[in-house]
Amino acid sequence: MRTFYIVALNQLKRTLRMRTVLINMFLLPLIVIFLLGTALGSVEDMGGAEDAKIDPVTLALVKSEDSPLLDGYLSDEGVARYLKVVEVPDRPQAQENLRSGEVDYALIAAPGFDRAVTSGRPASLELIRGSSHSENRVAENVLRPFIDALNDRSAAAKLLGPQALQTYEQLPAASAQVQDGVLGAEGGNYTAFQYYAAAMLVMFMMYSGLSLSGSLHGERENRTLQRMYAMPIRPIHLFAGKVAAAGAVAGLQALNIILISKWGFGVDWGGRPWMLAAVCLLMVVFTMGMAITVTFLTTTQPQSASIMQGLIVAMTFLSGGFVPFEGWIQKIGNFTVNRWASESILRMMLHEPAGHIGASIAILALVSAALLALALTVYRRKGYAYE
Amino acid sequence: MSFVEIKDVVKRYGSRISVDHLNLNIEEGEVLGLLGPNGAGKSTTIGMICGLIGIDSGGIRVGGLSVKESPMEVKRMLGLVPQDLALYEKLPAEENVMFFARLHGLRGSLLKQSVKEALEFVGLEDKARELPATFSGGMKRRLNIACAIMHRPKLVIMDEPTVGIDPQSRNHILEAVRELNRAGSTVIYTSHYMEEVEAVSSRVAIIDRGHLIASGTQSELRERAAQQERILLQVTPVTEELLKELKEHPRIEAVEADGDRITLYLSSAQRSLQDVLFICARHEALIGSLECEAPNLESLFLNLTGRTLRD
Repeated sequence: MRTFYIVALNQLKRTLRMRTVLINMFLLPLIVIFLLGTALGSVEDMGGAEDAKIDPVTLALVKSEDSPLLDGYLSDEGVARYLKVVEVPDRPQAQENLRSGEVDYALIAAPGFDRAVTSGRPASLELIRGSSHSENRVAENVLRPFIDALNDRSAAAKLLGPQALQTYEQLPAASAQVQDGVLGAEGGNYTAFQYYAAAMLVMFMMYSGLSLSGSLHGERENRTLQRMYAMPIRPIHLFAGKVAAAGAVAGLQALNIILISKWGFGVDWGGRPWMLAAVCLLMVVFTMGMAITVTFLTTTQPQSASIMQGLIVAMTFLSGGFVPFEGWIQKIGNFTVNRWASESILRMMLHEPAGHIGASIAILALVSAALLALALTVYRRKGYAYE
Repeated sequence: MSFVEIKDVVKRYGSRISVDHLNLNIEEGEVLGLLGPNGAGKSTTIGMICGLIGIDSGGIRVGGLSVKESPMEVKRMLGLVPQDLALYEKLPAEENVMFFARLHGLRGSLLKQSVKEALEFVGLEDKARELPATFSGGMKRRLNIACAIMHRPKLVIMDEPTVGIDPQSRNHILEAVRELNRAGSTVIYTSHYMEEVEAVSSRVAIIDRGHLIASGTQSELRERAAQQERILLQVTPVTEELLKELKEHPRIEAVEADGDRITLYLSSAQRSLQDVLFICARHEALIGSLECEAPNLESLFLNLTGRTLRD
């Protein structure tokens, strides 16, 4: 075991003496967090301090006769906040108004709509979308409870007969069902500084794997490994010492990012230090596993550096570490370790219940353990040969 | 019992045999010069002695211990000076030596004393705090040696330790080998430079294509080499026709040309000298200098293998 400590301390000393390491691993993350946090602090999707404001959508309503059901729903306070209703005589006029941009969305009720609903017969409503994606989404979200209730009544009448409708007094009002909520149990949203502090902590910790890979290849390339193998030491102690040193550097790096961003930029890391430490530890395990696997499957230092840099940047990008994504990229991002590590930290920052945070950490632990197992398998098969 | 016993050792790399049933004994306190051209199997043999390379068959014992069965105990007795520089360029010279000394188990005042002595031994005591990155090639080679001998090994193995250095550093290294030997270490010194081996070795082993082709003291080997002499010529111009005719001469065994210098290997220089002068005159080659040389290990090697050491 003495070899383990000697190698680890020597490696740690050599790493921390390198100016480029100090700049790239300790200073650069803080600069990036500062730049991104400052530049994107005002973007609402970044989790700005205030909720996004939704403007009311103008709805063209076409009905050939009075409809107490529709009027009752649309005049509800909760609905009226988001839908400004303009009555138009017929369908062509509604289409014309949509094209000209006078209205954003159109709703057309067929003649005898209310009678059909109350008697349990098929009732028809036509929805016509406008040109704005976001306004269409607002209108559809507001109308959704009404349409769901219609479908519900229609299904009940079909299955149980028209008498079943007597149990339905009236269609629901949106305001009665919807309650405004805030993200996080204590009502806090994360700031751009918090978002990028989490993303950059994860990304830069992975760069410590690059330093391990460089050091493993370096010993081989500058022939010091050959010299050491001619000494009375066990190769596993030498290897473990180098991994432990790189892990220690990653730990110091995490501590540096967390403390300096907290004191310097006011980043709130969420008051769960043990959970944060667990995430950092799992990231160290993942990073070392990745570095070992890549190192032993490549033959030169530049080769492994290119692969690792590619993996780190790609995973950070796909997980939304540079810019948050929605849709299919976000789905791909679910397969990156950055996604689960960042999510664990963001949940801590939002002061979510321990169970929610634990779920993300559990996935991170699973991925890290799998990669560590792969790394050890590769090490056993390939060995840390001196040439 | 010899200090190092190499018995019927075979090492294969795929279908290629690198060391082929090698038998060699090295006595305690001697300096063995291990000679052979590139690819002869010198480095593989050294690798097997150090436990770096597995042995396919046969066995090696150092100080009575089997390399295969007691690798750690054998490694404690060894100091390897590798062919390539094996140093941390960004770590001061003293810390380089200290790191490797710690791995050998030295600690406390013994560690400090050993590091100091090793640096003094190679003449780098005043450069202890400087980075090897700033050293000349010769200084790096000397530090390479210091990192291998600070624990006072019983067996020092030097694998071509003078490659690419200036004459002054080379002399320093050769003197260091003698000094190590005087201090009690057994030394294996590999090189394909005949002069170096002749300068430091008490006994010489010549290997080629994994075989031991000759071994003995220098005087023993010289006796065997006495059958062959050399004529060194400096002529202009050196034409293909001239070289062809020299090669075809029945008493000339080999011809080497390097610019305007020609080396002829032959059994009797005196008997063939007239013929050589006549051939040069026929090809209108002007002779700048001519020297007849007594037999040496280089000519023995040529005699035994048909190749020169630097082939």
